[in-house]
Amino acid sequence: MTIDNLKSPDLAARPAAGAGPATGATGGLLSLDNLHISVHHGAATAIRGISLSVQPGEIVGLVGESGSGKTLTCRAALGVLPDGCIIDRGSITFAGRDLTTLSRRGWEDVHGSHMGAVFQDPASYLNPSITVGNQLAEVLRVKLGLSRRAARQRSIELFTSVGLSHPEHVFHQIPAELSGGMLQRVMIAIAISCDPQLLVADEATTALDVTIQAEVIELLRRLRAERGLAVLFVSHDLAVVAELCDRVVVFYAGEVVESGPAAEIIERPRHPYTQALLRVASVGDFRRRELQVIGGQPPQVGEDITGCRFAGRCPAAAGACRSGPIAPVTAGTGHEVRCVRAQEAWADAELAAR
Amino acid sequence: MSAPATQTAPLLAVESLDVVLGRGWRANQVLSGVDLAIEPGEIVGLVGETGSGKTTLARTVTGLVSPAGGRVVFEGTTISALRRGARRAERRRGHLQLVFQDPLRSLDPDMIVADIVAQGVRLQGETDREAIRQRVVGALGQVGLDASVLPRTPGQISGGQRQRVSIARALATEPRLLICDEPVSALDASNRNYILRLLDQLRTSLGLSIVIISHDLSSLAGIADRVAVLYRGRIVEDGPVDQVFAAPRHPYTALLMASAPSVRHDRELSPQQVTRTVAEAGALPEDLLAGLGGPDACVLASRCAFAAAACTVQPPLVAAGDHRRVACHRHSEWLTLARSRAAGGQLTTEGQPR
Repeated sequence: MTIDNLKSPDLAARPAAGAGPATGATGGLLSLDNLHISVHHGAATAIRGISLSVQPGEIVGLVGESGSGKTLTCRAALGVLPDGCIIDRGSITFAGRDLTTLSRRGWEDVHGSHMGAVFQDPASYLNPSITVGNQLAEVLRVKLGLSRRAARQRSIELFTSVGLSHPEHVFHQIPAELSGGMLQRVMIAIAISCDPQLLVADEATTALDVTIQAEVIELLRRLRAERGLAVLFVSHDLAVVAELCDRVVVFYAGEVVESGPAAEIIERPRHPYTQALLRVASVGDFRRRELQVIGGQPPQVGEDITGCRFAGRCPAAAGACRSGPIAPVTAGTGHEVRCVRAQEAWADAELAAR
Repeated sequence: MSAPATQTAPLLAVESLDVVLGRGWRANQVLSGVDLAIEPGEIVGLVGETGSGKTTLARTVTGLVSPAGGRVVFEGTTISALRRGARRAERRRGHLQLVFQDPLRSLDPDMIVADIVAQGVRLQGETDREAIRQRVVGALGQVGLDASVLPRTPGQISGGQRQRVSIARALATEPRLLICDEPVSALDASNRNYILRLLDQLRTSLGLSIVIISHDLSSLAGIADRVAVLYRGRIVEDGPVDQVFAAPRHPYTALLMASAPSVRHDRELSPQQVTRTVAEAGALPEDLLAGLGGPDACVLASRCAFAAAACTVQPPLVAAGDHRRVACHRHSEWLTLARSRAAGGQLTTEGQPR
């Protein structure tokens, strides 16, 4: 697999993203700059030059289809890449520290204390035979050095703050005795137990009921307001991201195709892929309608494509889309699009039709 | 059904079904007095949260769980009363098929697609290899898959294809009724819409009746004819999908709709407007609060913002307008009360403990 060497110069030469808190890789609590990750021991490049940043107290949503690289990006930021995945190029900076060169001891300091994580299936991250209270108290005792009594006290406070009723009772329950929504709250309590600056939530609400999902989204909003917690929120459903996030980063086949303020992305999506995602998202109307699909298949991981990776499925693909690398262009304050036709009339016609 | 849509006998009739799982002190009534009829060629959505009994209803209808009371009539036969040989013969006919939620878990990972789809056909008594192959290829064709997937195992195809294989497995026996248990909750938005559209097409081309169990109301609105809302083992509301979603008559339906994620923020009610806060619960008289939490109370009484003295007794499911039924003492009053409640405020608890 030859890495597309032609691709990097345009990314490096990208103008420094103008003014405002753009997606550019400078500053911020967490910033990824031109990140390249290959899978299967270098056999295929799955992440091709991702740059994004999360400011303190900001909720950033990553959306895209399965296999677009959202989860891999999160795992790289958390330092828990699966076997065979290698960061080929680029940097990950968290609170001024370069994470790509961090030692194991260094990670132990970052995990939990500065960065927390919750995933899709809470039950598989908890020990089924230990009470959830002890699993949380253990983290507090190891990370913060609290006494048994203090850890218990703090655990109950944390359970209360994530909205579990009867926290003293929940403390003594094992995971099997709790519902999915309660387990996800326990996971969030563990993730925020050492007061991290960043919470990575990878499909954290996907497996939950809609009523519980709405409550967990509400909880994340409240934690941000109360603690200034920044959240990197991954979901395949643009509707969920639109509910919660300040900024949205749209992934397609290992690249960021569009990023910007959530309201702007929802109202004025410029990239054809984002527009397609919006058409298939839960629009929140309850009328009978034609359910839309995105035609075609995403490219295989590592597939070499000259030009736009979405061109094969794009209704507006033109010659220019396939002739060379596509550089991101600015489409508004902090709004960037990787599409050569983003400013053309068809995009406006598409918007008018919505 | 209280108001039959047609004079013909329904394809499936579930009559005052009670299901108790577990024995002795573990006994747990999962379904209480469920009445539901499925007409030929109709798509019925079954919605409700985890633990509401949706899956148990599907398992009882297909004979995987025995009811404690009531009966299941399919094509004029009381299938819930069949025993031994008669039940096995009914199953082998394959006229009633169940599609499971997670194909990765429900399909044998070591079997190839050709054998997975052929199994039901062989059970029907077909022995001719060529005939079996034709049925298999035909069933795969109906879900938009070609013969290239035949030699693959479930692990070697994509998630959307896997779900299509499990639908093809069900279709191969030429069923009259397909019960799909959360067929799309593991898929991304585009694949979800693809599967739902496929089910809609199959209903038309094969004259199938389909029951879709889902908690995603917005996509159900796209294809279902009728919807039944289950809460803690009881149907709390049912009726034509457009009418129910245009004007829900049960507060729980309103809560589900308010919780559904949406790209636009233009919902009429917020979840907070239909659920009781901790403060409100504290303000209620103690004996009323105990009554609302009691075993005879309305299933929603412990969460409902509008629960009153009458709600300490479970309301029956009664006709409310054309082909609609609702089980709520205050179905004519709660909406006015909801509109007068503040839209903001905090969600209180994680719902009811399990």
